[in-house]
Amino acid sequence: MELSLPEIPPAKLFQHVLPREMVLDNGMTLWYVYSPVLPLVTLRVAFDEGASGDGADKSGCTSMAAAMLKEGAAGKTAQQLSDEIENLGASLDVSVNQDGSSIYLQSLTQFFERGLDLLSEIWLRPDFEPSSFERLRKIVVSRLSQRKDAPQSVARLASDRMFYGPEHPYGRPVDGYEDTVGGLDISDVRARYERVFDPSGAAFFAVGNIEPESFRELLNARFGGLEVRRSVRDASQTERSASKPELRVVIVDKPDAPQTVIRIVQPGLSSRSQKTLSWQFVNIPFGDSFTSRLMQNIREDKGYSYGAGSAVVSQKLAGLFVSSSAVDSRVTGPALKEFMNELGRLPKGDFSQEEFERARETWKSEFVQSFETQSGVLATISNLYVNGKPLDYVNGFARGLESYTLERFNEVAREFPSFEEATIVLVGDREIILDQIAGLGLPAPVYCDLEGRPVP
Amino acid sequence: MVSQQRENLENVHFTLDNGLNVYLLRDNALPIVTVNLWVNVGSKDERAGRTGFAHLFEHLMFMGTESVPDIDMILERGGGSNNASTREDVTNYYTVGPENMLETILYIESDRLCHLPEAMTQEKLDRQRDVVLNERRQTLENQPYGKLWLALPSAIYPETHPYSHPVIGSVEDITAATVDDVISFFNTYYVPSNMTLVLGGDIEPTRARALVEKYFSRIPGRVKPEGTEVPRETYPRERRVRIEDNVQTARLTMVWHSPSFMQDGDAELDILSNILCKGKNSRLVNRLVYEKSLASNVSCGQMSGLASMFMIDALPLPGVSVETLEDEILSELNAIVRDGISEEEFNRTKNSIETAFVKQLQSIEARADSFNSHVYYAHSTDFPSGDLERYRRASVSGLMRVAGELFTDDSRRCTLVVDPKIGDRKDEAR
Repeated sequence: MELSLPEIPPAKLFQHVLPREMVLDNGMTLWYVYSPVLPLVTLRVAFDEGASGDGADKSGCTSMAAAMLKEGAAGKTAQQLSDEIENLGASLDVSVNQDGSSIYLQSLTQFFERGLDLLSEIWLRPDFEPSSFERLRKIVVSRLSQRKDAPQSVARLASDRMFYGPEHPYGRPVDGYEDTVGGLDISDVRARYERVFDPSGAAFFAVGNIEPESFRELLNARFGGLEVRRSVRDASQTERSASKPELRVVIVDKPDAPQTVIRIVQPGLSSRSQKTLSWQFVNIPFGDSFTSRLMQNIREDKGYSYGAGSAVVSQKLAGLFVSSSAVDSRVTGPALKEFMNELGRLPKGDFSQEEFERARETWKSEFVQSFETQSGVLATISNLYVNGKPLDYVNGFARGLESYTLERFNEVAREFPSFEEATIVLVGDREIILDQIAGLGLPAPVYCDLEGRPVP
Repeated sequence: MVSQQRENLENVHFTLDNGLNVYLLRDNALPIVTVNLWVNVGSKDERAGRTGFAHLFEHLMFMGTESVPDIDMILERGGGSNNASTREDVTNYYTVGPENMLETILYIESDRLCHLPEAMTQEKLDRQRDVVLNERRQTLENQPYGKLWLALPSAIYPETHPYSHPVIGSVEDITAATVDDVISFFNTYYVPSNMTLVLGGDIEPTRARALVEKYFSRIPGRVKPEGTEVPRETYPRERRVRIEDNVQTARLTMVWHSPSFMQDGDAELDILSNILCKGKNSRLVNRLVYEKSLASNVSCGQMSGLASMFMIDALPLPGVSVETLEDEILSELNAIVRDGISEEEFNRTKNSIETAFVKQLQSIEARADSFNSHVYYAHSTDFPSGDLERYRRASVSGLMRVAGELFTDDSRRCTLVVDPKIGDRKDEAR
């Protein structure tokens, strides 16, 4: 019996549960999603300051401050704190990005209260012991040195630095450089801690199987009496784009590298923009799915690479549109030419009905899948809050897809940046790259070192 | 501990006439379905001169047939997505999508299991060979310490052992593959009785079973291949290997052959790896990173399969030699063998393991894959409780027995050292 491809029935419209907004006695905000499915709780305490406030000579300071929280608190050593976390089987992590910082706790429900007590200790009573700081700094500097070996990390350092320029906070890495971290002292880090982890800039996001009122009480008992001085929302940073972007080529030499890492950055949208979801939607058939133009062209048709893709990266002050791949160094020129063709074509807005429909169904499916895990739920709801979007923003976009048209899709594509604004970073063997890109009509290259800083 | 409602999903098992084993795991928390296929073929089954072939073949499974010329286009048109991975023991294929895609996914999956060879061409093979060679460059040749992973199999397994070459294979062998190889490999290994299919998520079991029967019964039954025997080794082939790489920092890797996945001692070594390296007060992190400031990082793990290895890995801080790290690690291992471990250390790790199990249950795709793994290695369907039970049953004495076996005889250890190439310690950008 020969069977044929079945018809696909229409998909159900999915809408995520909205968080319940609650307030602690001191006015701190809690967004909570009650999820009784598993005996698991996940909490994120989000702070509205991140690495972008470090300053050029203290790049990496916020990351060091964050790492110090688990190096000793409330008179307990790093090892004692670690033992207590391990005893609960919990995860307790502190992280930093350019725009904000977070303390993240996940545990089985039965251990959650004890986990909260530990979170409270590292957040509010860190010790900043000088010998712990010295040890940590030495380790971090060593790890920063190892970053030079990873070509994708090198490409990212160079593209941020060269696209944004040395004065822009996003031109510097969140973790800093070997010399800036090496030059920090404990008073720098303590001062940064006091600013970044100030409860006044904090909000709580959580998902778990504890009843909402009881959950609020758990937080209120520990944090409802903290002094709160300024509103979370009045952070005074305003959008700040890169200095006039222009087409440029940046080479980082890795002699004998068998591949060239290609990373192309162009101006994108800040995370406050109301268009971020539309851009991400249009990016699906361009570079964010297996059937995307970049993947099909560079991997499946030409075999130049194991993969190629693009991403809409939105941050508070500015955003990027990033396209990248690692290609066989011997086809660096032809591969770059294909990137130039595709990026030149994108703002023409000529997606087909077929590409549009694939993007629509892919977006809807990924939306559902992102709600499988507690971490996924938290990521969505906390981003809404942090970026000042309405609670219904993503659900509204999902409903709007039912009547979205190809014409509208292509209109959004026409908003994408011109290739004339691209910074092209190539990490690989310099001699091969120069030979390969001759004749592509690109400007003369400039060079960066393995930390992404320009060299003569 | 783990909630009863999500612990063991009720599974429906049936076998088609052609020998395909099928399991249905219903979980309607979200409108998602997943289809997970395990094929009992991996790099262990490759013949001499064709290393890397099982993985190259996996890529070709996505190259379409006459009736489904482009799998990915059809899947993504309905919001589905897919991928696969190849290991020493097995190849797994997994697709996830909205619940309305179930029938389409089953059609596509069964179609390629019927018709792949008829549609295979030299052009498809050439294209995917280039992709695979680039995968090898991107994940190993152009990554720091990538050469370590290429050198490891032949260092620890004898030449005749099915694990003695890397899964990715050699460039020469990947290049030598032919269309005839593809067809013969398919006919030998992609046989219904050599595969297990798990459907998970928002399915209705009666309908799901009818659909599986409709689409997968058409695959002809063939002789089940004889499985490749994978001996559990005791002694490594080499005692010491030095590798040069373009890296800033040296790296020390110590490896021992260890008990197979799900066998006695396997869960105990997972627990031991936590005691040694999980958390700042674990034995090796405390000693090397905190007390003595010798290493920027130390990690370890029991890497389980039909044959397993236990591995400890450390990166020295500047000015510290790998030999110093090696002495310190051996001294800590000797202390464990001599003085034992405390009940407290042993129990500390158990809550982490329980939590990891609960977290894993959140994703239906991960859950279906783990279920398939449990069927393959434990020959049982009691996942996750049966797997968790191994850890609940583990004892200090069991751990001490396996630690004593591994660490008391120096000749059971293989040590691999990656040295920075001279001149690579400083920036060379021009």
